[in-house]
Amino acid sequence: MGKLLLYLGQKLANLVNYLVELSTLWSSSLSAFFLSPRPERRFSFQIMLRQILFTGIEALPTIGTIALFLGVVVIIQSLTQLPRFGGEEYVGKILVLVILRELGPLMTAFLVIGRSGTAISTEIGNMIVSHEIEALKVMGIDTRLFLVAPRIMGVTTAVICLSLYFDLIALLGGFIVAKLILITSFSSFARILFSSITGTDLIISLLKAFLFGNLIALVCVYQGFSVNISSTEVPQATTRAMVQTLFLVFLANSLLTLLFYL
Amino acid sequence: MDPNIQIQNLSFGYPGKKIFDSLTFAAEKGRSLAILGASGSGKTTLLKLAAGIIFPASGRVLINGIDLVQAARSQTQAVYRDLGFLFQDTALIANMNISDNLALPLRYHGVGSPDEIARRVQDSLSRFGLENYAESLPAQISVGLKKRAALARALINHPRLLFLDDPLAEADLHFQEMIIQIARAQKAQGTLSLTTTSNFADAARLADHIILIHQGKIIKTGSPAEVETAALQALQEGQI
Repeated sequence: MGKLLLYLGQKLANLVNYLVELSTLWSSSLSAFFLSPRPERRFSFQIMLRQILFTGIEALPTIGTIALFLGVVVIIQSLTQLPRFGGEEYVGKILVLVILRELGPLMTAFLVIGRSGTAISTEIGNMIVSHEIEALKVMGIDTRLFLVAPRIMGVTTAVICLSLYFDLIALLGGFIVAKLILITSFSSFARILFSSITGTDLIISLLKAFLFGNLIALVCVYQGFSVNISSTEVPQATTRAMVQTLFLVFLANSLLTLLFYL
Repeated sequence: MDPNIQIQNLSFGYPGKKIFDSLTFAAEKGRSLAILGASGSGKTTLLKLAAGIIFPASGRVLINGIDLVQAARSQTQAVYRDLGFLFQDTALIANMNISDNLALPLRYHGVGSPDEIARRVQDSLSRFGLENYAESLPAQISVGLKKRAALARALINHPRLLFLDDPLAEADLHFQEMIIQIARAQKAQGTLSLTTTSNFADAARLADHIILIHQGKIIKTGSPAEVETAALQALQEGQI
């Protein structure tokens, strides 16, 4: 029992230490961005726009398709199963809870981890192996401005926008497709839905997306920088980035959900 | 301030392996210095220490009087704006085309208007025969062209400090001639250059002063003729 407690204590200490390192990277990069001279900040901002293009705009078709499929399933199940148990009045609330509060930010985060998170850690790992980071340094280029801050801000902005886009497609697009087999009218569906959405639901959804975006960018950048010299370390770092981001996103999601229900 | 480098009692190593022990040397404006040593003797590591890419375990590296380990960011930025570094494996940014690679330090530091930057990049592309590869990614061009692009990037800021990591290794004759001409022209302009090589003839072609290193220590410093004599003697005596 003592050994188990010691083991768990060490794991917890490691996790806390890791989170402190991530927070330091986050704060030092963002402060470097906001305190840097104008030309450097402008340059960093342009990289951020490219990150939004890659993580956000180019992911729209994939996220839209998955949101649509998921929306159809959730809407059909809710509109057909709940009334059988006398739960018609909860349909709207269930949809909002499941899609807006939980699935929207979470599914968006999963897709961004798989698509952009892995790309970020691989890119940085390869840059280290090919001495590009050293080249940036001797050109006087701050890697926090060139690599870290634009990715944190770009990925976070993209996850927030994609999460809202996911919610919209899942709820409205999902209903349009589900309408093929349901008799519920659009006006009645919209009334149920909009009467169930509260400001808190939107805030929680956006807060989760904000947090997940930051976590994805931070962990993937951090793991990318953990590569030392060998190209064989790059896939290992990418796998670590993916697993750790998934873990932290799940953890953050559970804590936030718990927080708002307490 | 005129460009200068001072390496003072520099020691460096990796866990369980000492690379350098109390190295000291200095160079100033107009000096072309070659670090000569066998493969694996730590020449590239020494060049990276001198450029502040990696930091020593003890001792100091001063560039233009500034200790890069302790200096404020604005001071290190000023040093790096004045420094060109040619990496042995080019280290071009893989996801940027050649033109953007050249423009990178200028754009980042906001050196000139966009038109001015474009003109400087175009001039540099022409000077190094890269006009037809401006839009190519580094992976799409040959090693020789990549070396030329890396050299063009190292020189685009008109640096007064030039670091060249084994520039003649695996280079074609045209590039070798180009490097030697550039090294001479830079010296004439007062640029301080630091080159690494494992070939004595290359060191003699590129530098007026050679530092011979072996097993982490300086064996001899001096003119190519002086170092050649000392190296031959050390070889005969089995010291190196």
